[in-house]
Amino acid sequence: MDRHLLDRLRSVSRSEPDGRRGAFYGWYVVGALFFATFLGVGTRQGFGVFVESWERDFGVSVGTISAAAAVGWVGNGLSQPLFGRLTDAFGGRRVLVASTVAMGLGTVAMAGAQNVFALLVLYGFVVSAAGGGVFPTPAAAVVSRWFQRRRGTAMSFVTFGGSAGGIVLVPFAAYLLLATDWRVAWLAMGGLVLALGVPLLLAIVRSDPGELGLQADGDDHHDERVGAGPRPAVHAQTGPLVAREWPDSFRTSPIWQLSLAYGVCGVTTAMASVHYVRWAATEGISPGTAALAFGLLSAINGAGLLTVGAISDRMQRKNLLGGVYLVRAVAFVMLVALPGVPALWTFAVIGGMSWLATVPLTTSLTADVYGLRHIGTLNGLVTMAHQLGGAAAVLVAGFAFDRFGTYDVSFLAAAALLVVAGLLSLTIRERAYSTRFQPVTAEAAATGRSYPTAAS
Amino acid sequence: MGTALFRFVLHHSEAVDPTLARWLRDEIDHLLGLPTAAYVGLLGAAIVAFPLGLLWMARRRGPNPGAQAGEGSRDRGQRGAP
Repeated sequence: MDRHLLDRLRSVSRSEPDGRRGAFYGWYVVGALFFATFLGVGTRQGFGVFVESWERDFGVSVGTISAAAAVGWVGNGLSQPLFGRLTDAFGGRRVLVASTVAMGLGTVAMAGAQNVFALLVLYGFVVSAAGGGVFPTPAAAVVSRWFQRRRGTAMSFVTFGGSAGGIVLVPFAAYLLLATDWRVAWLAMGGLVLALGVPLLLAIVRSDPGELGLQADGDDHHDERVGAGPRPAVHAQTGPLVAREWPDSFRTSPIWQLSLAYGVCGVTTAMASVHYVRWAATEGISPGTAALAFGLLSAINGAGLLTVGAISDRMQRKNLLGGVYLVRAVAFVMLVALPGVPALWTFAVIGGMSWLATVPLTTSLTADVYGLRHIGTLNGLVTMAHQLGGAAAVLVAGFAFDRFGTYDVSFLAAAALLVVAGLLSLTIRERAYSTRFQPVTAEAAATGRSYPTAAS
Repeated sequence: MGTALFRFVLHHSEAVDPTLARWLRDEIDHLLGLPTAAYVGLLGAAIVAFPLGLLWMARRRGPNPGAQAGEGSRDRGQRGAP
């Protein structure tokens, strides 16, 4: 029988230590993290629904209200390494629960905001920053502990929670706003977070399968990995480049390759997200049509995300990651090379396939290479590069448009950066550095030292 | 640049574009034509159903083995864990 099919059957249905048979408990954890991501991302995306109400009630411009969103963006990025460090120190469950409580309370407090300054503080510094304690860093750290062989698949499901939040929670907020008012809507969303999200995390999520007497993927022994043939027992909790202290990881090349490439991901997605509708206007396309195309892009990204996540467990992740960046580069070139409407839809389709696919690939590859000892901190730093790169790109693209009167320069620069990101990803020596391909000895797992031969 | 500089992004977790949100609502209205309260009820039910269903499945699977396996032991200090 096909080896992957055997792995799949083994992972889905398994005897637990107490003799019960059922789905591997890790999938319940994935379900709970999916819902936490659904709430965290959906609540933050819902912010856009209320802009017109706040404009009217507070008597301020869209630009002023948008400053709160911008602060939230940066706050979310800066909080990632902190939550990552806390995750490494105290376990993902505690960070997830505490962050979800803070996010829920902040969301409820939004209902009582009396001015735009309160919005800025609550959304920018509380809801958005606390959201960083849910997704992606702590969630990725927990998933990485529960899954090794199917890490990409599991992480893609959790990431898909963000897409689902946009599809379900944002319309829910919009209709609630129509039926009641914005204060009731925020109160309801906060109530959902506190009444459903927190109990679900408390009831189901454990930071590590060892807490339930289980092992990653539901295995009895971690003695199998990508490639045929029997292997010696190894420590799945560590990776070939695991370091005693997390700063030592930055003496190795993969973390730089992953961070720089993910920074380019932030640059290009933020640039497109923020300037796509405005670019459409310069091409004579209506904002509604541009928004529709961007909606199509968002819908396609869910399918692309799940597909890429599943495939990544069967081949080298770096090849897929590089491919995703190169596909996105093609999408940006199309924006410049094609006329307005064809460019709009071509970008939506091609760009959509690559939009969120980088998340499970990057977080899984980081865990594969650096193990789990500092996975929260490392994922947090990589994600911070993404968010800050995005913030910088929005500014630069805006100034470039003012200077040149066209987005062609920015879009071509984005394509060039994506080619660089693709090459950085493709040149990661995954077979040499990944725990999927390289056994890690018990001695190395115990000492957590860097591997000189692999660190060059 | 003003507004355009801070337009909202729909990537990872940023706020939805108001134009897109309005379009989405209009399309759903056009497609289904239900009263607003019905949308709130349906979407709300879907949101509530997922966690309740997951909890039910987890409960049906049996008592949480964590209760017998030293729950929280790893939470107290993961740094030393290989």
